[in-house]
Amino acid sequence: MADPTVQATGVHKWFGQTHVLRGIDLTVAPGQIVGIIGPSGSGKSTFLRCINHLETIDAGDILFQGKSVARRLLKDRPFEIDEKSVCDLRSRMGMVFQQFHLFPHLTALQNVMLGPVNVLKQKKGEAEQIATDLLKRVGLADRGHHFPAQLSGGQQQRVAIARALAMNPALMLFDEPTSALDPELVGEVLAVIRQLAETGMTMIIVTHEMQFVQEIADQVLFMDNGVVVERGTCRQVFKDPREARTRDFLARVAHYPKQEREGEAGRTLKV
Amino acid sequence: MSLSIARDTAETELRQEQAVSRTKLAHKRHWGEIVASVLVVVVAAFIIHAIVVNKNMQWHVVWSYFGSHVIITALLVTLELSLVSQAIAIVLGILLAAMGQARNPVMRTAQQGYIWLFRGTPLLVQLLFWYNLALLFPNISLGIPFTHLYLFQESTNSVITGFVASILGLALNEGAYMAEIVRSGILAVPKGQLDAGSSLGMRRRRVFRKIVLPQAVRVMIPPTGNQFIGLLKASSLVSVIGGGDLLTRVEYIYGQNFLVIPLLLVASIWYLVLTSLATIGQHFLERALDVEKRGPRSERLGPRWLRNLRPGKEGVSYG
Repeated sequence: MADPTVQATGVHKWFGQTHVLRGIDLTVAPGQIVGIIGPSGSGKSTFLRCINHLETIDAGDILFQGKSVARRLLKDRPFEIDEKSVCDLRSRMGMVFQQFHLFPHLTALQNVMLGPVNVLKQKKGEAEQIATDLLKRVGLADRGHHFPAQLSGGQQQRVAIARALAMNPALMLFDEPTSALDPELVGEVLAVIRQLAETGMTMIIVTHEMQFVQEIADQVLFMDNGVVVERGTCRQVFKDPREARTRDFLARVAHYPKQEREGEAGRTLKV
Repeated sequence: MSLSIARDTAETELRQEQAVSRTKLAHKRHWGEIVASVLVVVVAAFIIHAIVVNKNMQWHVVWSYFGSHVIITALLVTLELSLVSQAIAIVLGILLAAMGQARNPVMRTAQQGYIWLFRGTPLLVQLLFWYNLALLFPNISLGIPFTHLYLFQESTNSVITGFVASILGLALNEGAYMAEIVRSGILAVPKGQLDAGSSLGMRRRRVFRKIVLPQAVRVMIPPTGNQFIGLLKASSLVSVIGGGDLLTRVEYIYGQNFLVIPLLLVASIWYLVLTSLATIGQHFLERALDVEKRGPRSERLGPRWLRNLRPGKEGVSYG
């Protein structure tokens, strides 16, 4: 049996005096899709950022494909992980941010090519070919030579997804990928993620799109105040929540109209 | 692809809308404005007249020296001083800014100390110090510290000529300012850019070179242009240590023939030409680096520049 893609045990994190993660456990098997939901400030984005070491952790450990992303042992003493190992781990995970964070000085194509050329040492021509194919996959074949500022939010986020995929990752991390988008642009981004799910990509998605999570996730975590309040399959968490806090949260977000938008997405984007 | 079709339709609609002629609105005239404008024109005309007809200006002397060999040679020295100093200052600024970002407190303190010293003392004083370095260290040598093994040894006065002292003074002083400009440029790059770069698995240094620096440079251009114009003028200070620049030469000439005003005019006009050219250069540099307003990547600086030089074409004009 292969190592789980991600195995987090007892992860704690402080920001100064604030205890933002209070013992998070999570196991993600290869090919699994995990949805993390919960109110703002519950620590879900922070936890996601810990997985690729954008944030350090203060206790516990996170293993990615069997290797710690947080520390290494030198003569049995734990040391902070070195830069090379971090970069190595990160090169096998893709991350998509809420605010896209495309590189504004590079075209869409160059954004996608940057990682493969600089980290995977691909030849320019080869990288360009792969990048072109990826842009086609996210429905932006004709936008390769545009700069991020000339693209809509939804298009930018799709380029960001292509940029992460260009590294040929074993795991994709999505940090609220649709939260910064105008409502009518959410559908096109979700369609790309849905299509990615169909290819069997291992993913962890932090999101407020409840409908979408139910549609694609194998496992759902509801986080509040730095702890995992409830976890299980979509059916368990959404249809039959055991905890009062989960029920409260789901009731509060239930008013958000998502149905029609999902329908819209299916019609406008065929990738 | 249905998305691109939607986009095309939108573009067609936009073009049609632009075909509709716009109404030009007239401005209401204000009497105060008109009176003030007339006053300004009269005063300006008066001043210009007073200068042009003033015999002491000796315009014929001005023009006889303006393009002379001595002046052009000196002009090139000024240009060389400014360009070389600015180049060194930019490298120094990047180094200092990197030191300021270092985790090591010794590096950070050294950086702060440098800026404190070179920004806190007058440039003129610094230039005099460099020129008189021989009084402090009569010999300059390169070797292993605390031993008598030397690779190179020379008397300070033969190494630190007026020109070298000028470069040292201008560059080291300018470097302190450039460090602050580079720092502000780096701070202007959103932190998310670093996250995105590192999440691709790039090393810190590569993230800095490929992502932070290109974006920081865009922010750095306007203040750097400003500094360079300042440096062009500040380079005239080296006349006190015989830097051989435009002002040194002009002072030398009028020291012999007493044609003070015309020769100062020669220098002033040349300084104006240099600073104007620098302004134009800065403008083009800013435009070239302003990727966000640029269309799909096609037109590079070269062709655009040539196009702008052609008369009667749309573009920027410096009339």
